[in-house]
Formats: sequence, structure tokens, C-alpha cells
Amino acid sequence: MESAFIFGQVGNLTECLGTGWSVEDTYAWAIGYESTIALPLPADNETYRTRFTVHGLTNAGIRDAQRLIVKAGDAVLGRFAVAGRTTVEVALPPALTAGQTYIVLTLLHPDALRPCDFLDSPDTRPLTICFHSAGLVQDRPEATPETQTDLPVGIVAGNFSALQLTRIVSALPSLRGKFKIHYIDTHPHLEETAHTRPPDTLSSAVFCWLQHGTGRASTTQALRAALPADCGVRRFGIPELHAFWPFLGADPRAVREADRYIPARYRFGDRIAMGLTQHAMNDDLLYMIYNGHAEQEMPDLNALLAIDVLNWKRLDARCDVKLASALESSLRRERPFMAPTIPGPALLRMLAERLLDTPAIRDVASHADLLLELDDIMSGYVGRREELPIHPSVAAHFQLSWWREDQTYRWYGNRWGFRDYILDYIRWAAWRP
Amino acid sequence: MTRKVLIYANCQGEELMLNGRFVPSLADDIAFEWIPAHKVALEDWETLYGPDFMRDVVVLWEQTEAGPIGPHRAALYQRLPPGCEIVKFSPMTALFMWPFSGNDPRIAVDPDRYPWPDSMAAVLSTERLGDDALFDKYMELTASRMPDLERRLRLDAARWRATDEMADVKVADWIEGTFRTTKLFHTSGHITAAASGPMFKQLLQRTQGIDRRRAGSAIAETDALLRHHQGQDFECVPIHPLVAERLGLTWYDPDALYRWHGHEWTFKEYILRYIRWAPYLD
Repeated sequence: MESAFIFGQVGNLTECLGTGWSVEDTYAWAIGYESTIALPLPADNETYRTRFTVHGLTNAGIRDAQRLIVKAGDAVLGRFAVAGRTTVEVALPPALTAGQTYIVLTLLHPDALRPCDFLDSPDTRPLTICFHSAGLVQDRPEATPETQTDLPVGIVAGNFSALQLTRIVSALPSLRGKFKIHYIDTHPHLEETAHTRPPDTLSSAVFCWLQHGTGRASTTQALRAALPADCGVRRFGIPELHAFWPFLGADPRAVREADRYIPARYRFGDRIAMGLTQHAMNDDLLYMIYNGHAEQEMPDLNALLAIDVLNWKRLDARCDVKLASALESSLRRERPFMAPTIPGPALLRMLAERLLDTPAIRDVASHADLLLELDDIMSGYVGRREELPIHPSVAAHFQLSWWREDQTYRWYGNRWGFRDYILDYIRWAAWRP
Repeated sequence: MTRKVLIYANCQGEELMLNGRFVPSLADDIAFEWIPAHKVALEDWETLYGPDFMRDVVVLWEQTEAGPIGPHRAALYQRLPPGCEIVKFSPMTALFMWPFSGNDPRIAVDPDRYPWPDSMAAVLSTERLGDDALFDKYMELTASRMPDLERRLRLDAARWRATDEMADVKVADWIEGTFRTTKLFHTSGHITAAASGPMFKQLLQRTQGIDRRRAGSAIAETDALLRHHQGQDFECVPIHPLVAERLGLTWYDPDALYRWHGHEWTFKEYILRYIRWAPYLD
């Protein structure tokens, strides 16, 4: 919707109302036989419709609806019978709107009622229809799957992170109406997801961003084979980080609990915590013992990070999108990882920024504009709500600038600090998604 | 045999259902199911909620509603197994905390983007100003138009008392005594865990069809289950600072971040995005 207007003293249409109105705080009654309104227009050459949200004054059995005729000059734009709250819509004649800053509409409403005649009310005004709001809507073809079939296709293939990238990129205004961006999950066989896309999606793709190291090899092979020869394929990877969580380990309690916790109640194991499960004691003491063990068994964190960095470089070598150096420089001031295998918004943004530098996209949109739009759509974005708490000593060691003493972490519907998390983990406490 | 506690309610019923499903003492043999009273369609009674669905229902937790019994509630009553225990509870609403919820014509065209209307923000939707100027204008407009919030509270309280009249578990006194010191609402109709937990415990307390000992354990477990939970927070409409001040909300934090789908925004960020009807990520 291009413009939203509210009737009433508090609204933004008061100065646009001509004759035949009784304006109240948050609405305006059309009174008598005729009202006029000069509806603001954006002075361009687009075609518009306007929608009024209204309700009619009725007297059951005598006047069950109010008639409303909307005119512009001599042209009748619409006729309605208004009873309960409803929205009426008329197309505005382009000849009267092109280049104009307003259009004068005449509203005919010949069925006025005086509330004092049939209600316990002293109101003697000849009321007809109560106008609450109006909207100016530009006529543009709906972006339905049918109308989008002519658009060039972009493919993003991989796991949930690829889906997130698809959503981010699809929301960028500069690409809207220029590409149909399609996500393909590479875990099932390609033919199993065929029903989710029009038949010629793959054969008409102009670019494909393919996530490396996830999904079925047979699916990615089939996908590549189905793409046209001139489709630009760029491989990207989702790096992992283990140095921030040095006690990761497989916990035998981590099993699927059907209908409740999938894949497990606590999906990331902690080998220090799992050694304390038999300790029945109060929170303070248990946490003190955990920390004692953690400090004793703390590995060389710099060495762990060096392994992570090495793995990022290896991933870079297999991908077209390079991340290792940017990750290294941003790791302490941004938050690229929410959990060892879960990218945060900072990493998704890094990836999107690099992937958007794709020839087919550069042809239709400025990269600088796309980056600004990326900043805007990702403002305040927190991504998946699966954040694995970081041990305070680890945060201190790496001097994580975003970390606070009272740092809390999102976990589905919950927010908890490291201490609460680890105590609940030790006790394998139930939590609610 | 798994016995079923059926909840007939608006989306607050989903919170109660999930509390029931995840509280350890009831996990083994009591199933919690929810019929969304605000979304159910007539054909659902034959398809989704037929005899198989209703067979094991031993308890109905029914959210009360002012006005006559509608066709859906009648359909529900017809299908309940004989002897089914019914415990009634009130819905929780808080229109008074969002006094500008009203009219925004954009919702008719795009109902899902920002479904909690702010009529003052809508008034500013035609302005072409920078962030600070636009926000200042919103604050100026809303300050000058701020209604009598105590009167709005009384109107809500009257609604709570009307539904309380029909309910076994009542909310009016509890909300009035609690909302200033504890955040109970994310929107005018979505509740926090601080609201769903006490309601859940009271329902368990009132329900004879659940073994008393196990109900007692479940009540004891509920606080631990929900102590970090945020409730129905996928859409949190920020509280206007003047509303917080005038209502004396002790928990109010002017720098708070409010979740909106995949984002977390301040009051100012939310309002600017709302005015501009800006897209966002899930």
C-alpha cells in the first residue's frame, strides 16, 4: 500500500475533507446526502485504487444498509451497500490521477438516519456512513507463482543455512521482480522435492549458489546436471567453530525423545558436565565444582582456534566464496557463530555479501545498493534461536567484545545464562521449546 | 490408555498445551491437545475433531467467552464423551497497554506483516522524514493523544470480570494485582510465561480428572520448566515509554529489545519500521 490515511481529529485526512462530514476523534461520519474528499496522490503516472474502511449506521428492519456511491467528476467509480464494518474499494481513473497531487471524490449517501429517531440518543445529526481509514493502493501485477514464471531463476541449495540465505536475499528490494530465487534442500533426492518448484525451474536458472559439504552427493550431482551450461554456479561453505566450546562431547543421555526433544534434550554435549550427573547438591556448589573441573581441563584454546582456522582455509580451498580471513578478523568483535555448527547473522551476512557479487546480479543491481539493503533487512536480525552458551573463561580468553558478564543466550523460547544452562544440562532438566 | 486433556481456547491454549506436554510428571500417559477456538472451521469438527479425536478426552479446559454460545462451542459440547470434566478459565487480554491499537488500512491489504495496528503510526505513514524526525513526530503525536490509561484499564478489567463470571479460574484480580510488577503480555493478546504458568497451575489444581499426587508434582515442576521461558514472544509489540510511566510498570526497561519474528528491536526501531511498513525476516 502506497499511503495509509486515518479519518478523525487524530488522523491525517482532516484537511482533505470538504463538505458533508462530522469529524470525531478517530473517525468521521459522512452526513446528509453528499460528502467530498480531496484524496492525496503521489503525483506520478501509476494507476491506483483506493480502499475505505467504513461501517454504516443501520436501524434493523427499517434501514439494514446504507447506500454509497463513489464518484470522481461525473464518473461513477463504485456503488456499495454498507452495513457492518467493511472495506470498499474503487479504481481511480488514470486520467484524473496522472501527475496529480490529489483527486476529488464525491460520496453520495442518500439514506441518512438520525440516532435520536430510533436510539436512546440526543444525537440529531443525519448520519450515514462512518469512515475509519483509507488506503491508496498502486495497481501492480501480483507477484504470484504464475506471474513470476518469466523471471530469471536463482537457486540456493543446501541445508537450513541456505534457506536462511534465500530468505535474506529474496527480501532485498533491488532484486524483487528481477529474480525468482528458489531454495532447494539437498538432503532428499532431487526428484523428491520436484513438486515444490515449477518444472522448468532448474533448466532456466541463471545462477546457483551451492552449499558445499552438506546434503546428498547424488542430489548435488543431479542438481548440477539439471542446470543449463551457462548457469553460474558458486560454491559456498558454512564453516564451523569449536574453540568457543572446548568441552564438546557425546553425552549418552542425548537421545531422541519423540514429540518432545528432537534430536535430543540437549543436543550439544559437555564432557565436564556429563561427569557430574551423579552429584546431588545445591546450585552454587555444583557450579563451583563444574568450574573447578573446567579450569583444570581447559585445553589450549589458541591451538583449538588454530585448528578451526585451518579448517576454514581448507573449506575456502574447496569453495568459490572465501571466508577464512574475514572470519578471523571479525571473530572477537562480531558473533559469526551461535553454536559450533550454527552460523549467526554476522556469518550469514558475510556469505550474502559475497554471494551477491554474482555476475547475473551485478547486471541488474548495484552491489553498493544491495549492501545497504542487506544492512537494513538484517538490522536486529538474530537468526536461529539456538545459541550455545559460552563458558565465561573462554569468552575472557578470546576477549569477545560482544560478551557481557550477564550474557544471556536464546534457546528456542528460552533465554538463559551460562550458569543456568550448565546446571540444567547437568541435571538433564526439562525445558520448554 | 492415554487420557486426553483437551483445551478449547485462543492461542493462549497452545501455551497451556505445550506446558502440559513438557512437564515431566504428566509426560507418560496424559496427552494435551488444543483446538484453536479462533481458527476452527465448521468442517474441522467432522475431519480433525471427529470421534477418534474425542474418544479419550477426560477433561476439557474451556476458555470462556462473553456472549451467547456460538456454533463451534455447541459442536464441541456435542462431541465431548459422557462424563468429561469441564474446567473453565478466562482469556487474558490487555488492550490498555497499547492504547493506539486501532485502525490501520494497510492491515486489510497485508494482514500478516504488522498485525497489531498502531493508528498513530499509521497517520505518519505518508510522511517522508528521516529516522529521528519521524520518531520525534510519533512521540509528539502520541504524547498529545495519549488517552486516560486508568480508564482504559477499567474497561479491560470490566471485560476480564465479564468472562470471569463464567470461569472457574478467574484472572481479573490477579492481572490487576500483577501487571505493574511483572510483564504478563507481549501484545494485547499474547502472554508471557509469567502469565501462562500460573494459569496452567490453577487449571491443574482445579482438575479432578488428573491424579492429585501427579497433579501436585506437575504444579511443582511448572516453575522450573518455565523459569527461562519467554512465552508467546514471536511478536512482541513494544510498550510506549509514556504508557509505562503512566501505568507505573516497574519492570519496564526503556532500552529493552523486543522480538519481532527473526529480529530484536528497540521501541524506536519497531515504530520506525511499523510506520514504514518495512519487511523483515522470519
